[in-house]
Amino acid sequence: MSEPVIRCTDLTKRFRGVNAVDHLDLELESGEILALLGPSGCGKTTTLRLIAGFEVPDGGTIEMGGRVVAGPRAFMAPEKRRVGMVFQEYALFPHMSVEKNVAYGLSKDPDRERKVGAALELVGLTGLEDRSPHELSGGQQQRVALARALAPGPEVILLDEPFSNLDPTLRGRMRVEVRRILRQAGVTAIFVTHDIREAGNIGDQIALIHQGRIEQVGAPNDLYHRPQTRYTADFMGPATFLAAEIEKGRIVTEIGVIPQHVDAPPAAGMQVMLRPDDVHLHASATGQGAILFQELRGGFFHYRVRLDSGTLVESQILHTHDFEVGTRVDVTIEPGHALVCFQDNTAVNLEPSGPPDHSADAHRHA
Amino acid sequence: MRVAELAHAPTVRAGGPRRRAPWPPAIIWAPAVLVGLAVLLPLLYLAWRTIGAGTEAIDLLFRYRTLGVVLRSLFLVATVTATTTLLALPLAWLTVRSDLPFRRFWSVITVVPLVIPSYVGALMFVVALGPKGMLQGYLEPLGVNRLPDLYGYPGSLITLSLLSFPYVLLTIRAALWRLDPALEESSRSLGHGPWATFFRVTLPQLRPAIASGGLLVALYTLSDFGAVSLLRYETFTWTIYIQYGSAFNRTLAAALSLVLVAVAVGILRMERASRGRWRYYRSAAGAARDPSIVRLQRWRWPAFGFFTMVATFSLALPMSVLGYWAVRGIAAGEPLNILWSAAANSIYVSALAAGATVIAGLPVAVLAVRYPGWIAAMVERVTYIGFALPGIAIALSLVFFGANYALPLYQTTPLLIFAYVVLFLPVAIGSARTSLMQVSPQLEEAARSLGRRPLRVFSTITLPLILPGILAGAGMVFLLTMKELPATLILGPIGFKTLATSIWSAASEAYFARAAIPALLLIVVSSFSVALILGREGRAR
Repeated sequence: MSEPVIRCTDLTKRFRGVNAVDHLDLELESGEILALLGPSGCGKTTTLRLIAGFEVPDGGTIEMGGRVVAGPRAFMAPEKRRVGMVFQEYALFPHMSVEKNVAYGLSKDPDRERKVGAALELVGLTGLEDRSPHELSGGQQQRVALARALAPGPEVILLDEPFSNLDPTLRGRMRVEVRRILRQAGVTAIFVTHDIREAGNIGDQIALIHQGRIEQVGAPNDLYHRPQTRYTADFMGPATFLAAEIEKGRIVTEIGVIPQHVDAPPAAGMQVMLRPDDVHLHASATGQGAILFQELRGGFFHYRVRLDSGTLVESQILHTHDFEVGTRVDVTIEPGHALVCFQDNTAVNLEPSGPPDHSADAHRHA
Repeated sequence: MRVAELAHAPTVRAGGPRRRAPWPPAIIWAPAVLVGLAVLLPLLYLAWRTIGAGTEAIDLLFRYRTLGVVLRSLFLVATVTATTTLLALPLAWLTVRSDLPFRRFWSVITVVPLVIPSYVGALMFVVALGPKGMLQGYLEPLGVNRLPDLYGYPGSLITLSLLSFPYVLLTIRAALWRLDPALEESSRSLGHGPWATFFRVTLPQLRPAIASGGLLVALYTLSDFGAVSLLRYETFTWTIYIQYGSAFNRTLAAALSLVLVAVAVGILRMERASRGRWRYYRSAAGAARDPSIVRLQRWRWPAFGFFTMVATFSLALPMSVLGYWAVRGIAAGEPLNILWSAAANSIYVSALAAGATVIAGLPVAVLAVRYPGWIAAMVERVTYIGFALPGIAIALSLVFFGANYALPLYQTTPLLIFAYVVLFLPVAIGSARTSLMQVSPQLEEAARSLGRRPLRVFSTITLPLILPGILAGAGMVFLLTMKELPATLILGPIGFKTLATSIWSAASEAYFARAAIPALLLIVVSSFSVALILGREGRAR
């Protein structure tokens, strides 16, 4: 097991008495791309700035390559940390050409010309060396910022909301580009975002931050389908939480038994989480509910159904299932994977008893 | 020229997560605090000297006609402020919001009176309208042997109003440009007519601009020395000068200076209090629309006449009188070589003052912008003193200090430069501050994350980016120093003549022709400072 590139332990930062970062623990393996995801004000940017060395922690330690760079008795200045930073507004030096910007971190390097050329080639800007930053498009400016941060060969590169200043069409393209560049450079990266799609597209791992703490770390798919808390479940996308109880190793809800075996004692007062894609609808005069709302999203219809009990259920199905508002429908649950049950806003550990329905790790809960 | 200073008065910045600023490094706070203490020195010494004199100072204040001085000064300040506001409000509105003929021409011309130093303006007033002035000369054939004496209050009121109304004009105009047109449109659509809209929506929005422009005029009038001396109106500055220069009553002069400072601080506080609690800016984001233009119709040409009249009295008349006397002076063979040495002296001290002020202001600006906190607030407030302190008060304090404690410095150039630094520090800090605020701290952080130490970051990133602003500040200080009169008069080394002091001494002995040539030269120089201000107004739009 190699030493993590970055390890934050019990990291705390207070602003005006409020814990912006609150006893946060984080580890990052070499070459990994981690997305710090969360709403604005959750402490994700502060975490990034603490790692970069622009803020001094009020508690806890930050280690880089096994060495403490910030802690109770140590603080390493940002210029000594070998951490590259890409800022939200890129922070290109307006009085320097593209080439001078990229060369800025290589002042004492005898090999600087070659490294500048290599960095610019990596980001696809060869030939624009003499431009000044204001002559570049937003996407090009971001490439310069990346090249500048990568040129000195940092251990880690930090990106603060890297796509928020790009227009939506460019954003999609740059996501793919940035991931390619980071992969190609083989660098360990942390980036901050409030956009779930961005986090999932670029990050190998997502760390969801909530009120200065890490709510859950995992692969993007894990966070969506296997949230450990109601907060994660809600943040990652729309979901219906249906009242459920466990009876004879089965999850029983008002719309029927869920095809999933669980090895847990009988329990009541739980909620099972249904993503819209887990829920299927069939027109039926004797159905359990009626369509309340219909919206076309690309190739899918998004429906909201009111069950006769008054419960609302969300469903997303192919556009070929076109039901008008008011149509009576049967609601069935066809997840294709294990579902997660919650009790008191926390996921319940449900060990599988019978053969798993589809994937073996679907029941892994922390 | 204090418009620039006011624009950079300490403001609260909004937005972003409120991070507590880190403790500033010693290399920043130590020089900044030192500058703050140095600026405080003249004021403290003035207070200490007056209080040191104890009951004597109080006795003198009561025995002397101090109350009369206070009342005359306040009366002049109040009436000049009111006159300039009444003059500037229609001028500003017409140049921004109406289809006045030659709008662009007038918007430049109405600011130009700022180039005329008050003592030159007063001199022209004396020359043209004095009891035996040029006007009387023209009327002589009609049997008019003497015009009524307009010296004292009426002369001071007219001269100072005609020279200082552009201060209010500039602030009101800037506010009119910023005003959201949707506010007036809402008022109109809610059933108010144009006049009701002006008085109920537009005018209240202009209140802060009127107050800050009025503050500039009030402080200008209060600290003016040249005009009231030449027109012999016994306000603070002239009385202090007489007590110091002719009556040799230094304790009284110091005590009066302290009262003058108190009055200035009081005026500053009044303006603060008048700002009230309302917000006066666009609440919505979005592209700024240009103000809508009101058609004057049959009022178009009367408005044109109004502008012509203002321009005639504030600019055309004084300038032609000045030109006439300059030509007469050259024709009469006024020695020009003295003029050149005076000009060289002016440029020499002004350049030194500009350099020293900018260097002193830089750490204060960095502290204020990058490390806001109690130290920054204290230092900034202290350095702001120069904004309210009349030059004569600073000069007197330094004279006493030099004579008593630093005799080698007494009447030397360094002490004079120090006075200029105290007086004009807010200008240098203001422009350094503005340009620093435009440099994102992220640029500095980016440079540090690329492995450069803070000092290298400052010299390779920050300094090159703020240099234009610093130079603009230096330029302003240079031009202000060129015009400065009372401190130069009192603190200048013996036999040291600048353009300003040459004009003043020639004028006070009624050598009009001798005064006219340096005055013309000085006006040419100070035109550049107005061009600087106008350039900023243009960019701010």
